[in-house]
Amino acid sequence: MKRTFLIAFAAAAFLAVPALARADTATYCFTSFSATTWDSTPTQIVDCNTADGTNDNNNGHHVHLDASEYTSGGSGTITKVELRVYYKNNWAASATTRNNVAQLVPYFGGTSEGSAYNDALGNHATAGWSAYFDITSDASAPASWSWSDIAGLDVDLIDDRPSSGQITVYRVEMRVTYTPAGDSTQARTLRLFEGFVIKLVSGTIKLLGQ
Amino acid sequence: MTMRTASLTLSAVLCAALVAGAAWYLRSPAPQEELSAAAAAAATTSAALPPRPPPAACGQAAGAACVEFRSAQYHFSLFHSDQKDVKTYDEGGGAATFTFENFDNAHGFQIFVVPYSGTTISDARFAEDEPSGVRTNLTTLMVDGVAAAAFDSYDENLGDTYEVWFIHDGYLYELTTLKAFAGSMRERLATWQFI
Repeated sequence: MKRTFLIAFAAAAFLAVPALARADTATYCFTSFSATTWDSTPTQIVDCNTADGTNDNNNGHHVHLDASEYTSGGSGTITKVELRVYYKNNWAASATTRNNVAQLVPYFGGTSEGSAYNDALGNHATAGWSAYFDITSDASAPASWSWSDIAGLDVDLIDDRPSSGQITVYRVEMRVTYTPAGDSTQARTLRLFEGFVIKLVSGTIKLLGQ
Repeated sequence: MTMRTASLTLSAVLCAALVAGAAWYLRSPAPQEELSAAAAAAATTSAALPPRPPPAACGQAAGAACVEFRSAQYHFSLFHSDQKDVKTYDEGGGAATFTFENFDNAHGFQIFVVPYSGTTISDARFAEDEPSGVRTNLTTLMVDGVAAAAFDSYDENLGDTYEVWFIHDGYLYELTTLKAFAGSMRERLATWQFI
């Protein structure tokens, strides 16, 4: 029987919650490319740092990233895979059409093309991270991710340039969220007074029927 | 000896045996055990451990006594009120839930135990078990020498709740009660032992 909630305690004061995060995510940057039409050799895109980048000024130019820092050794159940890119454009208040962005297209297993992911066109004049793009359930993604799928993931980096502008790309990376081996993925069910209606009557908590 | 005398003698002997048995039981209360089949084998180990002497306080109501509950499979022992019904649920994946409920006064608490290899509680795990995402008034408690996170939370069916989470020896323990009974929970946790 579905429980009905009727209890009304005074609202607790909501305080800042300290983080209890454990490192059950792993981040891997892309470290090599197999094909490119970028304006110049994209060496600085695959050096895994955000201190320097490689420019491009042409719509549709791309770099096919074919390997990441991850090669083997992962364990645990993968629950989410995301991509992001560190880049900037040369948007200016006086030149708002320089609104191009770095677009990412995953290639699952190195060959199966996924959807295109990118920030909204606009002002990205300060170098920084794009949003995280969740590719876990991309139409071409594996139904159930394994660590070999992480090793086999390629990404096409594309200059999405509808009108004008230059982008500088520094780094592309993936973030893998996983449940460590040995952990149970069983979620909790609150069974306390399961099936009862809980009611506050004259300051006393009562259970009503089942 | 007449039939009547023999009958009276037999009654007296039975009464004496009953009183002696009750006295022995009260002096050395046998710990309750988990009920699941999966735990039955493991429970043998704990049955070999001597009963712990009951503490004066275990979060019980006036007039109630403290009785021990122990789970060999999940390596813990604690005392709770003898007025509570105890149920065990096998949740699969190596996890289990224990409920201790008094349906007359709506007092109760739940223990959820799940295999967990980390040393801290991940946000992902928290979100999985606490869909409301509410975690306020976070404080630290010690449970048999282990640091535990105690906080207020919320459940759509129970309302405001009080939770104590801690990790020990490959398990994450999540204890839940109604917020109104947070004091009883802390008193009960003082009797917790890892076994």
